[in-house]
Amino acid sequence: MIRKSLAVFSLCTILLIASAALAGLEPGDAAPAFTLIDTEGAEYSLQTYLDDGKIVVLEWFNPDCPFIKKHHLNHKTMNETFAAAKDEGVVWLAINSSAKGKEGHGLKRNQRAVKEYEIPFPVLIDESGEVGRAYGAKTTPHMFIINPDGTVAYNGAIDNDRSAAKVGETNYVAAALMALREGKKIVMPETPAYGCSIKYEN
Amino acid sequence: MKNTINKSLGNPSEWRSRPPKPILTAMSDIHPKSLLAMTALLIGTAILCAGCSAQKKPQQPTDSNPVVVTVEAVPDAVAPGESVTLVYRFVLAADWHLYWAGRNDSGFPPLIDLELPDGWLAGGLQWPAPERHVSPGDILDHVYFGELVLIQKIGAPKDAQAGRKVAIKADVQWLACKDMCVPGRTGLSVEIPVKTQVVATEPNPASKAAARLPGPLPDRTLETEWEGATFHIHDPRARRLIFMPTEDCGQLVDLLNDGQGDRLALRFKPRGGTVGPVRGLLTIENEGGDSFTYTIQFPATVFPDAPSGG
Repeated sequence: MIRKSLAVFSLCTILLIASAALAGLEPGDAAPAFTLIDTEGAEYSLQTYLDDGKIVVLEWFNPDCPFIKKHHLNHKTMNETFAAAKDEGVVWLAINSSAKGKEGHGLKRNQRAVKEYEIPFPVLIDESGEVGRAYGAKTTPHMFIINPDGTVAYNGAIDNDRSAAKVGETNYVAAALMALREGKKIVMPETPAYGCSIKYEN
Repeated sequence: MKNTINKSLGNPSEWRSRPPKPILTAMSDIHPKSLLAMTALLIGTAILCAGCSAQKKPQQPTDSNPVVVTVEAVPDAVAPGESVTLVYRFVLAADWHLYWAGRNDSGFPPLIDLELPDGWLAGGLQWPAPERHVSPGDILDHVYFGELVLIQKIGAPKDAQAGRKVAIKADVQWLACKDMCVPGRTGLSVEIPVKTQVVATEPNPASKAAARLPGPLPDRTLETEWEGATFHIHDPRARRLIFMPTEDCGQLVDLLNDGQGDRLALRFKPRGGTVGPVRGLLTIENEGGDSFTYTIQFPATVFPDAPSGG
């Protein structure tokens, strides 16, 4: 028997595809300022990190989304990408914009997820969706990298496999962080984010 | 009607084939709730059907198992060198949706991997027109509610032996969403007898599905024009126009705010000195309220890149 693929969705085209609606923030745009509280009650402000000259990674998060489980539970993409960059002073903040009553919302649910997924960075709660909408965040996970000068360095997906099961061969965020570290140009500063839609307030 | 494989399946060089793939982490792909529900359903069916007739009752989708998939071959037999159509039917529980294989902000379209005997060939999946679905946060997707029927041509080799039965296996994966998203996966199989003569009756599930596929725009007054990086579409007889880009369309700026009434102004992002091409589906809602969806294709045009730096 020969196995023949009927690929509905050609993975080879991933590099070329774009999001359907609106790209939102473009590389070079100013990153909207925010202050949010994490699952432990601590306050986090983007500006504080920028003032310290840090690069900040934002990850839109929803503990019950299959694509988040892919990268936090079945694979450890986010933890590993963070681990490779944190010694360079890179800050990683997860943000949950699920509205009250919607999937992935709730302090207890997110506290449990931090433990279960062994998340080594803060999960900030944005239940009004104000920060998510300001960034034009659409999916979980939707990734942003912010330069120390407060501009957007990267907007898009974590990697190049849009399925809920497999991890991509190219980790765009790791590649962008490496380029920033080496003072090089980011080859792919904008990619189509993928995942579950963010469960914003209606 | 006699079809050769080449005619019915297109250029063989366009067919896709891949070497065997390792089995994916099947269990982890199935939502625990779905697994539980599937087990419960299986046990339930076993109890209900103990001693009952061989008649199969189709499963009904529920919130805990929102997608039920079946496959059938049409016609139910094939002659050597001829083709059959596989008809995949996804039945969805109320309010759940599946994703189109074109451009979406979120989700993932159904994925089907076929296992075919040597010498048999498969064409691409054919997708009906989806509907536009906008979620809070301007999240734009193209989806199917209720039912999704995909069709796919399978070509038998000329030396297929009449009198034998051939088994085709399909590994089907999908992501279904409502106010939450649940991935699913199932293995389907269909047996196709090879006969020297096969008579197809019309209409059948395959011809009905084929009739619903979006086709090229018929002759009608669609006015189109590039103006800088914007592609204008105007249909004076339309009440509403909706454009749904396929993966090979140029990158758009803001599809949600690109049209009103009988006009669309699709704003593209220049890339490498060009904008476009315009590729996708165009839904035209007529004054009477009925709507039709067509495939449209317009080539890219020259557009100088914005000066960088500055």
